[in-house]
Amino acid sequence: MGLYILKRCLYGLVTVWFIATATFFAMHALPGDPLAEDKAVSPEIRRNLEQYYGLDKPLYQQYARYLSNMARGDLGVSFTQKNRSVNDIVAEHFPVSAALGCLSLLFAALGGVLWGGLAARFRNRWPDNLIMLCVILFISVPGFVLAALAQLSIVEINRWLGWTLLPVAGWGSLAHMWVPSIVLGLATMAYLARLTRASLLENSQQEYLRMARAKGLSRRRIFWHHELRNALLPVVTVLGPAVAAVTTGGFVVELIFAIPGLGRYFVQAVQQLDYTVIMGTTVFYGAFLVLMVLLADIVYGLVDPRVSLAEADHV
Amino acid sequence: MSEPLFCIDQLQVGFPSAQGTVHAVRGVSLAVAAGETLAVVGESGCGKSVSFAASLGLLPQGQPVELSGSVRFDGVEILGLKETSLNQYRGRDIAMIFQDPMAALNPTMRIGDQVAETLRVHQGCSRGVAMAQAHRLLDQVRLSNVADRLRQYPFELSGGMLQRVMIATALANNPRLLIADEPTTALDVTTQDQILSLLRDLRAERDMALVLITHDLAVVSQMADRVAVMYAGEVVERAEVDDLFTQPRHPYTQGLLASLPSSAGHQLPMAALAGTPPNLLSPPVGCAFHPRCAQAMNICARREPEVVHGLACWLQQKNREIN
Amino acid sequence: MSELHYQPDDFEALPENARQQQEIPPGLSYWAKVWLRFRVNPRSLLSLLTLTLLISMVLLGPLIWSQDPSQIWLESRLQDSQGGLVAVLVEPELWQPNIRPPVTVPARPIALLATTEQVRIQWAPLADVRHYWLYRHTRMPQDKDDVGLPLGYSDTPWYEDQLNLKSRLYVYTVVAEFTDDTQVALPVLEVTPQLAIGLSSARLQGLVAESAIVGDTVTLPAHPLGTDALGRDTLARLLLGGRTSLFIGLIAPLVAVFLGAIYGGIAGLTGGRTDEIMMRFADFIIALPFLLFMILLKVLLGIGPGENGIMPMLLALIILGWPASARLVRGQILQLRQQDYVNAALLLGANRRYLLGRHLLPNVMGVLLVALSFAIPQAIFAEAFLSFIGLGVTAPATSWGTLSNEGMRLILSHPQQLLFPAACISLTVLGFNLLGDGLRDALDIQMQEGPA
Repeated sequence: MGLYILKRCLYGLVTVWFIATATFFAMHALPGDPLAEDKAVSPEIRRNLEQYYGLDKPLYQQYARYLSNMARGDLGVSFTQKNRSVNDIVAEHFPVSAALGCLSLLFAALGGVLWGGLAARFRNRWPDNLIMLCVILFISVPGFVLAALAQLSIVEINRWLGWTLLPVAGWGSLAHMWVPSIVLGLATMAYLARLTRASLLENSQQEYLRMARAKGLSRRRIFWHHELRNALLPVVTVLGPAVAAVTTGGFVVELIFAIPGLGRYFVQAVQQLDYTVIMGTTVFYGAFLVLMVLLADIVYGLVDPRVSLAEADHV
Repeated sequence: MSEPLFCIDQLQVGFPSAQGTVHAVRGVSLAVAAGETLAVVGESGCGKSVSFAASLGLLPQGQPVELSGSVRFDGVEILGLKETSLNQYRGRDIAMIFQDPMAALNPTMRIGDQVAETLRVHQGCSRGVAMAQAHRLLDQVRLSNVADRLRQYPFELSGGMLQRVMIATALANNPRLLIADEPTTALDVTTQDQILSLLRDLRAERDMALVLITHDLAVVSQMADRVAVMYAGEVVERAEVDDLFTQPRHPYTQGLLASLPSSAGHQLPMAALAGTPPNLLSPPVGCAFHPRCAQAMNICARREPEVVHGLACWLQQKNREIN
Repeated sequence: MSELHYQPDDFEALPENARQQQEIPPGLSYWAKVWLRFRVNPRSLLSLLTLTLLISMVLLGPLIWSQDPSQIWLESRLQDSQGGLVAVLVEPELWQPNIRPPVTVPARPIALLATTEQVRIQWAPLADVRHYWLYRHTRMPQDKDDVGLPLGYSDTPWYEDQLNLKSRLYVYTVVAEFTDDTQVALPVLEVTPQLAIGLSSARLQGLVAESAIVGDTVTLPAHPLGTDALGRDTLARLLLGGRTSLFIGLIAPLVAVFLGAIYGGIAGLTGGRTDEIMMRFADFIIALPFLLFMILLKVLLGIGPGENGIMPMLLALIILGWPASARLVRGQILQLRQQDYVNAALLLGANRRYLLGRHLLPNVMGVLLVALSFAIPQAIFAEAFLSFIGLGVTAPATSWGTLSNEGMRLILSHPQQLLFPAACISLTVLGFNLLGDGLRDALDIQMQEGPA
């Protein structure tokens, strides 16, 4: 198990390094000059600024400096918001995104397993058909459309009621949180429901369940002790990708609901070509996602006794 | 005369499908008494496993099934009982082991827990007591390193070891009937022999009834007291094991035996059983075997033979008519 | 024992031809069986129908619906759905009524001219008036405060309204404010302006010949789905955007799957160390956060003169999309190499080309087909996502994602501007998802899948 985790960590580090490098060279390959927009910069100030940002050095020195800064956790300084470091931006806005993401994931995981379980239980009867219809709909409708529709519905409901049942946008209270969380989690929930159902159905034909029945176990005991645990294994494997889906999906949801999360800042930085913020947040997001996938792998290794040994043998 | 321990009477099992009902079992009657080993033989798909799975309510769930006939254990009707009532028998009085031990054990549960589970459920004993008993059971089935094995997962054991684990699980509550569905098919030959002798010893020690479902006549000759030969969802011949091997009466049984390497070492023509088993969506009229039977007569395509003296074949009547 | 009655020939040997032979189901080719299984699934057929309709609409639509999707007419911005309406030609000219109106002017306001270009109202002058305030309502006022939109004031007893007029009922209220600060409302005026278009504007749009004169009528272009914020025809833009979205959504996965198949094929067939290195690299690309890298690549590739964003999008999707199918193909090849029938064929002297054509290709084709039908929705989603956050296709090209982005700004006042492109994206993705499900079931393939 230890070897397995070590190997995974190594892979993760390489991935983060690759993302950082790709980001660095992508940003430097761009035509144009980040300082060009400040029209009224005198050559002297300009030189100082270049020195300050390290733009006067050769590329390999910039790269080395960039990597060592990253390794120390310094993500750089924003070009457009003077005197604001990317670390500050991340520290201020990431907790908002994280709260949103955690709520959505919780909602998606609980809902996915519940609906998937129900669908499998009522296989090929109307509850199953209804659930699977909703699932395929939520998978097929882009997140920003769901978010926009949800927002429009809130507006209409508030107008119809004549008072504010739920805030249309913004952040702060619990009332602000739950509609964006649900909207953000819907697609992932649909995937998980589908996976849970397929997994339960596939498992339901397994011989060990027949053996469990032959042992005279009650239906409930068979479900909880034998069926669910095995059926949920594949669900655990997609938790990593699910975090990625919720993270990137958060970009648009934060944009639409005007939530001051990191995703919205990232998109704004991309639109304004604020290079350092793009670089910093991309690397941050990259590292975050790699860490999440790593965690999901470790969790899977803990849940499925077959993984750790088999994987470690490969090293 | 008191009834044998386990009786299947005129059991019919049909699976409705879009193309029509598949008549997997068509009026099977079998009985096994305490202390006796009954072997049920036939090609795959002849309904031997389905008969017993249906008797114990172990057919795949969520699939429509048409059941009729009667199954009695110790004089009590158990066919079509509710799940909760069946659980009074399953795993306690009647135990069953399956063909593929790799698939039949829960891959994410430790061996010890899987054996102990049935003890805890049926006897209500604590985990510690059940574990101690599981240890003893695994010793009885001659598993090595039992103390370690208890904490291992199925994927860490070989097929033969897992089959021993499954047998130990089945025997945990001292069942009066053990149904073994192809217990050695998935194992290699040396392991097969070990498992068979284990089963033979355990049956003798405990005086339980054993039903051995198999397609392997070699296994039958080693193990069985009596034999039932099944074809296309019906029992075509029932006999004592010695009679069956010395004087097979049904052409199908003769065909099966002919396909075995003989003890004298020379081979009979393998073509003895040409053709394939019938499609059970629409079984042939008359005797189901007649399209493949070398001795078929006109009546075989007209009327279904009745079972007389444990044999369902018109040749018997022909011989009587002639004599 | 029951007494049976036998027929005389009962115990004679059964003639060979009297044996009941069971009909053996006719042997079907692999793809015929797949099609048979696909056909019985109503959802698969429905998806096939939907997709055919959508694609033919997008391909053939612009040929039939020939309005220019980039023709900007600010006069007809954000119109709702309308058919080909008939408008009268007018010439806007400065209106200078007599300072002293003729005595025929009644005390109540009257409309001298009422078209959607301008509504001219005149009323009899009152004494000691400081201003006349004009209000416009879309229904009869309920009370004296309910007068509607304030248009402005006039110091003369006439007023010309040119503010965003539609061909519908308006109720004008003139309120006279006297020098002693008292106010009196004149009787209301109900007007339904006639649809009109300025002569020069109509000439510019090419709606009328040069010889047309004021007073002629002209049929305006129909907008079945209305117009957008710049007065462009929504239907024409949807069709144009669909071409872009489907082009990206189909071409990128096709190329990616093709390249991936070759890569995976080489890796699988070569085997050994090469295979390991090649697949490590593919695994690595798969492990990259997809949308994050799309953004990065898009930023990197997307900036150039005259760039409309389609090529960078394609490139980015291909660069990140190929490893999945490479893995699938390699897996299939490794699996097939272990199959007994392949070994048997090799023993029987089959050459490599025969093996590839007879065994490998049909198996791999199925997997690739399913992979493709799941890669297409992912590509369409990626395009929509990037365009939505403003990194996508830019003018003069447009796409469903870009249209959604434009529509999002008007969500509260004109939700249809978002709903139309969103519905197109959703329908397409739904169609491909159902098609993929149906194919997977028909081909009986187990696939790993997870959220995009």
